[in-house]
Amino acid sequence: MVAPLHLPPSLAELHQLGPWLREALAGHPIEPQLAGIELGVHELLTNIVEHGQPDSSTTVNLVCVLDEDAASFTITDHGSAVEPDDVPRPDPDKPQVRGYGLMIIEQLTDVFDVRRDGDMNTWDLRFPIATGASI
Amino acid sequence: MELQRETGTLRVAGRVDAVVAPELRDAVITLVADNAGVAVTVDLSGVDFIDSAGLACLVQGMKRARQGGGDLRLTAPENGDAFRVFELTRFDRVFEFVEAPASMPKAA
Repeated sequence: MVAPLHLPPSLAELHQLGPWLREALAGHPIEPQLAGIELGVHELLTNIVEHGQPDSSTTVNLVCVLDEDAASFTITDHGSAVEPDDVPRPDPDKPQVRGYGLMIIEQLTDVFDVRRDGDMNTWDLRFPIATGASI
Repeated sequence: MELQRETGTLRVAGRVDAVVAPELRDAVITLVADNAGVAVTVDLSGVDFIDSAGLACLVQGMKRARQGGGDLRLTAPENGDAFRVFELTRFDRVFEFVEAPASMPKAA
């Protein structure tokens, strides 16, 4: 298992995600889905930084666990409390400028949950191995 | 991200994400404002990653162009992975996709 990634809560630091994911998924059957997984995790991290606004003294922490069916991520942050179910989803028939991050994550994952423990959010994401075309 | 401005066209290459979105937004809005009432093209053929923040810049430009009687068309990324964000958000059905303008070399 690749070592956890600890990111300062800044958009400028998100470039570290790609190389970490490439190392984490290398040689695993889910590796061809790297691009979709990077997009999904990137969207969550961007939401955490932009909307959760964690204190700069904290880090956003990523752990990746692989099994034969999926790549699972546990991500913790110290930003504000978030309830994704309260965020309205875009209407596909009415294009809008923002608000597509959660919609993207939900389509790429079969598990997308968050819980609040004290001042910390813990996110669980599970990307299943695609049986057909890569995600 | 690299931007190249030509008449009626903005060519974009590299990684387009929330970090560079403000720069892209300014370039797209300027492109639309300088070509009011006509169709402009944003050539994304050289883009290898685009997220929802980058997409938002294009949607904003498209809306502004259409409000002014024009349009904002796209040349799709050659990298199929980079096109994924358009499919996941259904914007592959909203934008008009065109070939890269023949008079210009494609983005690196």
